[in-house]
Amino acid sequence: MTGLDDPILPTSIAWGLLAAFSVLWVVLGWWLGRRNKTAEDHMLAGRNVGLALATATAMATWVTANTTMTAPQLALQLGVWGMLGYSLGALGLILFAPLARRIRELMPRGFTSGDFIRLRFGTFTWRVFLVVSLIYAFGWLVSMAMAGGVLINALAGIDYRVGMTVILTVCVIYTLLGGLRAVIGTDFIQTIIIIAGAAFIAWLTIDKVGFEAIHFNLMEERPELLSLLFPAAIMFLFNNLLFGVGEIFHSNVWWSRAFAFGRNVGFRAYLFGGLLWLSIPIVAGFIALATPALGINVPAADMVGPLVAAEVLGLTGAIVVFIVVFAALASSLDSLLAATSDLVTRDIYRGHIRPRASEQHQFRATKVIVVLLGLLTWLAASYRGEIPIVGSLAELLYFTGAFVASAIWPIVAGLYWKQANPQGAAWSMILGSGIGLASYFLIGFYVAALVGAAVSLAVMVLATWLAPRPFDWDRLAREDTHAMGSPA
Amino acid sequence: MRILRPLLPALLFLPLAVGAQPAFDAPPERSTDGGFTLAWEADAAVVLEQASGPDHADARVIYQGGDTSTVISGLPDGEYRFRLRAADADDWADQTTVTVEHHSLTRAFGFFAVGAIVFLVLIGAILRGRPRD
Amino acid sequence: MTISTTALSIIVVIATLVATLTPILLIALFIRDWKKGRLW
Repeated sequence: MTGLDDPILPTSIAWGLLAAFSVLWVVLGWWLGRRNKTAEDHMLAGRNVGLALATATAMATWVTANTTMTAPQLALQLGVWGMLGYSLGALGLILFAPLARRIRELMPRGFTSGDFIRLRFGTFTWRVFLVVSLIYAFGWLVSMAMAGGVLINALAGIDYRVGMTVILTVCVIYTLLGGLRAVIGTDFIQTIIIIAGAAFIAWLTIDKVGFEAIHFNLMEERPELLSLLFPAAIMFLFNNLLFGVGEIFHSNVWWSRAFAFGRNVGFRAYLFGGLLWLSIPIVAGFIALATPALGINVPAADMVGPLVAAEVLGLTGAIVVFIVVFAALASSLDSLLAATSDLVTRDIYRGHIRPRASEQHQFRATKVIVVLLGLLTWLAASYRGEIPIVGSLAELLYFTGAFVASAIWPIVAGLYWKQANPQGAAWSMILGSGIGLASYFLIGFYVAALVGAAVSLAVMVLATWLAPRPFDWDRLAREDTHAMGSPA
Repeated sequence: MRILRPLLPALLFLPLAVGAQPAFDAPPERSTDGGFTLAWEADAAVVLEQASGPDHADARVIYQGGDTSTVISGLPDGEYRFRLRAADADDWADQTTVTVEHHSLTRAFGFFAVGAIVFLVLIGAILRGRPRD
Repeated sequence: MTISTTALSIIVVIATLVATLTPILLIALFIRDWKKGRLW
């Protein structure tokens, strides 16, 4: 981190916390997964997850390290609108609620988002979708592993590569041992840690600094942050919302949960999770607005959260932040590892390499693929800066906004429009990504997702209007029952 | 926390420090969102001042200490002048000017409107969706 | 147009209250699911 000259948490305490929580997650993962017998158990936790665990896992997964770090960063850079705009990311979860119900009705035996696109739109669209999906998933994985290393380094002075390796290894081990059950079970505890920790820091900041001082000092030093007509923040609002919707609608992380949640649970879990999530970016973000009142220097925008917490709370604050960040990282990293390995197993390995793989075979393949994904992520994250394109992967994630937002309409049309045109779905992703990407370079990062979503909507509507292709919804349920290969 | 760091290192390396004045490291020239990061090269603690007039009349110290960067944000339209000196020196060593010109509100609300339309169509499509017809 | 101290404090306090109650709500849901044997 530029300019941050000493860590806010003593290294010995950080190692103690890291070790204690690593052991906790691995033991829990093993314990939760000990009864997994089939690939279906491992990938979808028995398809009957209840409301409490379902709500918590939706929230925890959507609170990434990005949320705990980016919410304060956006409050610092885009002010009140930045903070509120980030909290609208919750709409992705809320809008996915009806989709989750529909998905489970249409495909009671489905496995991945790739399954749906293949059955609904055919092979060509499926392949385009897999490219979009895997670029995003890998970008997210690597950027989270990197964020883990950077944060641990900045908070505690532990070497970047060591911290990154520890976090990644722990997540790979417990995902490997327990599959989705381990992911969801640990998510529950992680959600509680993250939210309680963020609320604790927020209360103490309110108590020690106070709104009067925050408001007064902002007006003096950074007045635009309080402005309700801050142009960049106004542009950012819907872009962020559509980025979030795109991330959730297309990604197998959320689809595998829709398949795994019990009947009638998905809708309520995503709705509750989303409504409760609304508060998190405000709680985690507003503390950054206290920076002028506290008179602290912020050397790098993404470190503002930990800096304020440590200033207000001293050592306790640093410890709470460290635990919250570790929980936030783990809860997203594990979900992404599990869901991406499912997608690779189902749609690449079984779909493209060994179509006749037996269930036992796929069970083993899923595990091998988790390890391979972990290794690949580790390689990309450890050589950041040395390979040019990987060095900027964190920024790369920003322009995946164009890709994911252009997948919104193929998903929505596929689920709801009987006449949706399959070629149109493929081209709406291709053109949406392309033009969205161009606008990223021509205008700025805050419009890429917006343009991607707008273009893909236009293409999808036009194609379906000009060349409607009626679809028999029952085909989805009929064909996905045969999709899992022969039982071993 | 680390606002006022001891000047000991600067004194120890005094002969070296004389040759290396603090200097801004690739400062931005303009900003469309009122925010940017200022970074500098320095061997020891520095003093950073911000002013909005050409003669530094309203200058105030915005940072003093051993960090080598600072995040500025929330500035309204205007020309801002920053200058930098070593904490133990009297003369300013480097200065830079950043112009803040926010996007026009017309442009901002244009994108806002496109976003709002896409979003409303999305809500409509989901609400209208009837299972199995 | 600037947000007032009151409006800012209302937004933040409500959000923080919700965030404080969320873990309690989740644990209550967990206990309910557990008693009914509907955790998984």
